[in-house]
Amino acid sequence: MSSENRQSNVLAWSLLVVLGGGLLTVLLSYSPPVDISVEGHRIDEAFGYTTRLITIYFAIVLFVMGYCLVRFRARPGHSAEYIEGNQPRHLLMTGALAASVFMLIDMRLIATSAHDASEIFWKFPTGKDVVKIQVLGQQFEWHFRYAGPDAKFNTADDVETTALLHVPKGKPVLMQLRSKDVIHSLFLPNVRLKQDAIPGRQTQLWFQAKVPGDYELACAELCGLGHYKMRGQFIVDEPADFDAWIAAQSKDAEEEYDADDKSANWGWDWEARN
Amino acid sequence: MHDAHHAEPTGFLSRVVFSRDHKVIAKQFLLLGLLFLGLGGILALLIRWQLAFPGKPVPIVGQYLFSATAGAISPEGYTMLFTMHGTIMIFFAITPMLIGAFGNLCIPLMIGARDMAFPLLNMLSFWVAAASGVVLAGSFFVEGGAAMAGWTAYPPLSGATATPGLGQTLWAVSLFLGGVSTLMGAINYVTTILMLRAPGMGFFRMPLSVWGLGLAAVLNILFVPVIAAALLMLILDRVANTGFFVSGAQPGSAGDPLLFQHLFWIFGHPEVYILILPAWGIVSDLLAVFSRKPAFGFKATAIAMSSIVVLSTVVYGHHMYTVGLSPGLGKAFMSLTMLISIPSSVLFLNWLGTIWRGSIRLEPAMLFALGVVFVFGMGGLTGLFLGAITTDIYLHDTAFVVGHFHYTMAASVLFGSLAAIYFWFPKMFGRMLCPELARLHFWFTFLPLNLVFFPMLIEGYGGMPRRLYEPTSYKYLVQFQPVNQLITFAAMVLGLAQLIFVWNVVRSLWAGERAPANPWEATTLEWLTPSPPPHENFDVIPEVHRGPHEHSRPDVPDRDWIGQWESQAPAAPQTPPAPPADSEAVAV
Repeated sequence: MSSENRQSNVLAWSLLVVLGGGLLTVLLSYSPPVDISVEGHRIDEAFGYTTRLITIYFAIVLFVMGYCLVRFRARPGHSAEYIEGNQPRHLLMTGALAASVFMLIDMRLIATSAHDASEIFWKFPTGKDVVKIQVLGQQFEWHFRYAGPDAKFNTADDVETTALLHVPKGKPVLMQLRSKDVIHSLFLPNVRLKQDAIPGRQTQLWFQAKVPGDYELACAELCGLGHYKMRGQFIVDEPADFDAWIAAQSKDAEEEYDADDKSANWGWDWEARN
Repeated sequence: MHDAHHAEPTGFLSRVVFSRDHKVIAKQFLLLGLLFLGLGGILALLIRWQLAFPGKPVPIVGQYLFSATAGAISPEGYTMLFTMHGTIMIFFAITPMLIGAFGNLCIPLMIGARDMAFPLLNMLSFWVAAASGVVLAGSFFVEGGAAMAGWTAYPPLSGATATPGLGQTLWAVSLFLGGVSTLMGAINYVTTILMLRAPGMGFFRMPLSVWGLGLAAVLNILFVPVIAAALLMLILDRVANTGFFVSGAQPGSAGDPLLFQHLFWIFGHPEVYILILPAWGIVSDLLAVFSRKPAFGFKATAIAMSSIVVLSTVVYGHHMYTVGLSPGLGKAFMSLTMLISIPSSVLFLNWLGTIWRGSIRLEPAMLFALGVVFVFGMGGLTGLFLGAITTDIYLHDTAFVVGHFHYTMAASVLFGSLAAIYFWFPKMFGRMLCPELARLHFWFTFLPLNLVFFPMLIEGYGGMPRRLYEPTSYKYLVQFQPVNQLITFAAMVLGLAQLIFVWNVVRSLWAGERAPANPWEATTLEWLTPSPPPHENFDVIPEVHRGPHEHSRPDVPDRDWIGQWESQAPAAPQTPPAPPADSEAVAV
């Protein structure tokens, strides 16, 4: 390689590194929506440490690759070494490295994730202070139903909202999800959770919010042409505000209640398993 | 049997169109794959336009394609675009290219056979694939347009109520036909590998490309019938009003939408490996050839690929963490999924081991093979987040998934195909491609490709759901519009760069330098034959004396390779480059 060639190569690579680094910095400055839940940090942490470990792992792989490409490039006077890599020591080395990567990265992720799934996110709360909400997915709106003062669903005092979810801060919220038509998926980016709503089935989702505010909820599963419009408002209230809101809404609901309107009374008995 | 010579057919139809010659069928599959790759790419650019500039008329082509909406893409149009983009790219672009074209080209040549075990079946496999492609492409023009339920076509959305219209039915019919074609090919590949290996060609002397293609064929034989069954049920649900997948929506129906997801992913997860296995095999071979070394840990690589085949059959549940799986099932699928990283690590380590202390020639095919190592690394590692239950719950159905599977399936398999094309083009067509254009093609593919798929990971972590017609309809996603525009710009560069490749191929077919028999000084059996190989490949079926990557043996003087067909190193030193096609009968 001529020195001019080498110079232009170095120039090209430096340019690449600078531009790439700049771009990467900009991209990495984006962060996910603020986590407002009690348990959402578990997902962020699992994501964080896995990212750090695989970045190190991949950097090592790329460094070795880059080193080989420079150091062992074909050139006059240089020849390859005949290594089959089938010797016991080679297999041992490969096996040991693969196993240690598995133990360092995967095992930790498996352990954390298995714990968090079965002990936190998929362990549904019971008890008196649980706020129960029924969710019905429908092209292209999310419907939410609160039992109202009588604590029974599908009665006159139910509060029903469309594309608007109110929850109180500091109480576990338990949702039962069903779908009227196709599969939808309730996505709450700010609590890091999503759950499919599937026709013919009932699914559950729970979380506990800790930061009052006005957020968004989405449909994550393609549900038809209006999928992108299936947006909702997700409001976390102070407990007192939430109770006041429920009381006011419930009063209105009772006035407008029509027992014969089947489509408006889409709720179900909370204990029913569909 | 296969040792008997058949006369070469002479008519145009029997030679070029309805040929039973595996090399001609390989070219037919390559053409089919490249045409659909182009179509799928154009669909991708239209998708990207909408995401970067929602609702704005598409420049130049918009007025013709979307005349009803003054050149802008409608929600219908957009949904069709991404449904057909996914379907076309997976089943009609990369499948025909890697498995159809290079499966056909490489298997008989590399194991020393005159042709496939069932040449007629092979021909039928192509024509059924072509018919299925025609059905799919035709579905754009029926009333109501093409399919609109995503490439995964989950019912009830893909049912007759939610998505009426012939397009969605044709989609299912077309994929069913594609499955028939794939199955015919796979049976052929497996039989050929089992029955028609040249004397001395033991399984552990087969090139890793053949290992990858053969293992992919085994997975196809096992799992294509599963998706075929699901598609048949979907077709019946749509046209005969059965209720396999409709529940809730139709009272009294005993069907279940989730049944389709199970069947789809029982096939769908192995499908990922069906596509990547040939690429892994090809990369393993190419790294060895261009490092002038044996493939490091050859047996370990073959065994790692085989164990991934086994594992791939028991991990599909990780696509369904959000449907309400029981925690025990979820944890079982997660643990099995993560186990795949052990054999995957073995592959990576062996690839590094192969280039270590080599004498690396950065030919274009080598650049693309190294590109696979990079993009597959990105894809494999980002897969960890999706294999783990809790991180997947957040990332599922976001742009993160799109970035991840484009790195694994699209980028790795595309680079694998391009490496294969740059490597075997001289053998296939008897002409050399221009290496300078090829290098340009590599860099203008590799760099923009990462600018397309890496930012998607960021958007996904930012919570952007996939398949959104208008990403700005969510307030928290507005901040990502510059990123969307960056991706779209990079995608355009990526698309345009493929013209370099097209030009290189077209130019070389007519005016390329004539290819010698063995331009890369490689060691596997296809390089024994002239370029292009004659009808029935070998004058005499060669005897195989050694493994597939015998480069730089200390006991071979004067050159850094010895062919599998050579009983001993030739006495006279040969001067590189290898001798021209005519004089290459020598070695037998």
